[in-house]
Amino acid sequence: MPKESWPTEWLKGILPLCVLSIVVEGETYGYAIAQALEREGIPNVKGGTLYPLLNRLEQERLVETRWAAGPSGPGRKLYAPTKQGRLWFEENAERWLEFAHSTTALLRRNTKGNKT
Amino acid sequence: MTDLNERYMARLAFWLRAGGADGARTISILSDVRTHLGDSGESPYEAFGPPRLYAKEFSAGSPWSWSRRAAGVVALAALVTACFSAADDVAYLRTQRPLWWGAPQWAVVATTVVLLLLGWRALMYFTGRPITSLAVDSVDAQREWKLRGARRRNVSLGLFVLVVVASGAWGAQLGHAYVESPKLRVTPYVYSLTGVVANSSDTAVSVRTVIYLNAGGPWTSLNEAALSSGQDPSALQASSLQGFGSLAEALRVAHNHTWSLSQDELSGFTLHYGSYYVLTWSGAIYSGLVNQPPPSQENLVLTYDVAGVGLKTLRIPLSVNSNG
Repeated sequence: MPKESWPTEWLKGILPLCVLSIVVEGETYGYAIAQALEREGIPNVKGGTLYPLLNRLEQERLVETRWAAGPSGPGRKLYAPTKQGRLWFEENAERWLEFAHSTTALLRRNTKGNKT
Repeated sequence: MTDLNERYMARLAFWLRAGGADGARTISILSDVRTHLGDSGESPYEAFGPPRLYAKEFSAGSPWSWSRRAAGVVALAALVTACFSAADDVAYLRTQRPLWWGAPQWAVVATTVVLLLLGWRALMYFTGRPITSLAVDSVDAQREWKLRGARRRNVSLGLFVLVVVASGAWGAQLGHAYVESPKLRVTPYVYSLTGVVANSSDTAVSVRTVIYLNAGGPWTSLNEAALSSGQDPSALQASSLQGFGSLAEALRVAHNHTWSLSQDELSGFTLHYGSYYVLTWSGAIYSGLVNQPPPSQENLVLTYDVAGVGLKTLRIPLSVNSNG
């Protein structure tokens, strides 16, 4: 039984940052990103969501791609962050953490078990 | 790569192209799909959704797609209009009737263009091949893309030449048919009977056969019938024409050799393409001199009038037995 997906509208905002966060760790390819997301607790990100997102990041010059010959036959596309992409990630990740901190504090105050 | 994946990628490539994606972009998108499906083993529909919708995710920014498509549609419409006008002219010359029951030209052209575009799309959709299935890298893929482009151009050019040659041949054939037609024809079945006319040296001739027009065309009517070696003007001449919808029916009637003729119905008789006429004719060969035997080879010559073309003739060979 696969883990339940997060609501699409939540993912919409944070997914670019999450994907970039994985790309920043080192050059990687699409399916590996999906697997990494799953490991980090964001399951069921479909190819239909991931690749258009990567494509947008590429168009905004936050990631760059190159082709690598596969072990046998056709090659695969590898994604790596650009300098601009790293800067954008750092800046926005900071801001998101702040945002998450605020929202977490707010939600925690009124959540069962955390009421004081 | 399974068949399903190949088909999916072919359709995705089709919709990406339809959305205005250029070669490099199409290759790049397909490459991701291919490796993803290979890695995950997922079904393409599950991972990416329907190809048309997935292609939409990438369709932003295709600056020349609409103008190019519009130019293509205009060119196609012009071609169809030209073909339609030519066909309509030929049809009118041949049958004095407009094509397509006189439907407005724009409606016929629009319908044809839409049908052609849909047909072309369906052809592309169902016969498309993905382009990155064997590409090793982007350079390789670009090369394959160019190769495919060249192949597609060659195929299109070949088809175009074929259409031009075929329509030229068709037009020439129609033109020829118009100039030559309509022609009156006679079936190989010609029944003729000869006999001596009482108190005269004339030879009586009776003929029964089936005649028909080989093509539709201008108003055609029969003018007269005469024996080629001259006939006795004082002898009784009578004829009848009976039209049938099928050749078989007409021949069946023609094989019946009992008839009676009282008047000459032939002159001015209007002939219609598609009808088969049982022609019954009787007259007499004028011998003039008592001792002159009638010629053994005799023709019944039908003269007919094609409006705008002029008089034409049909010779029906008869076998005349000299028994006088």
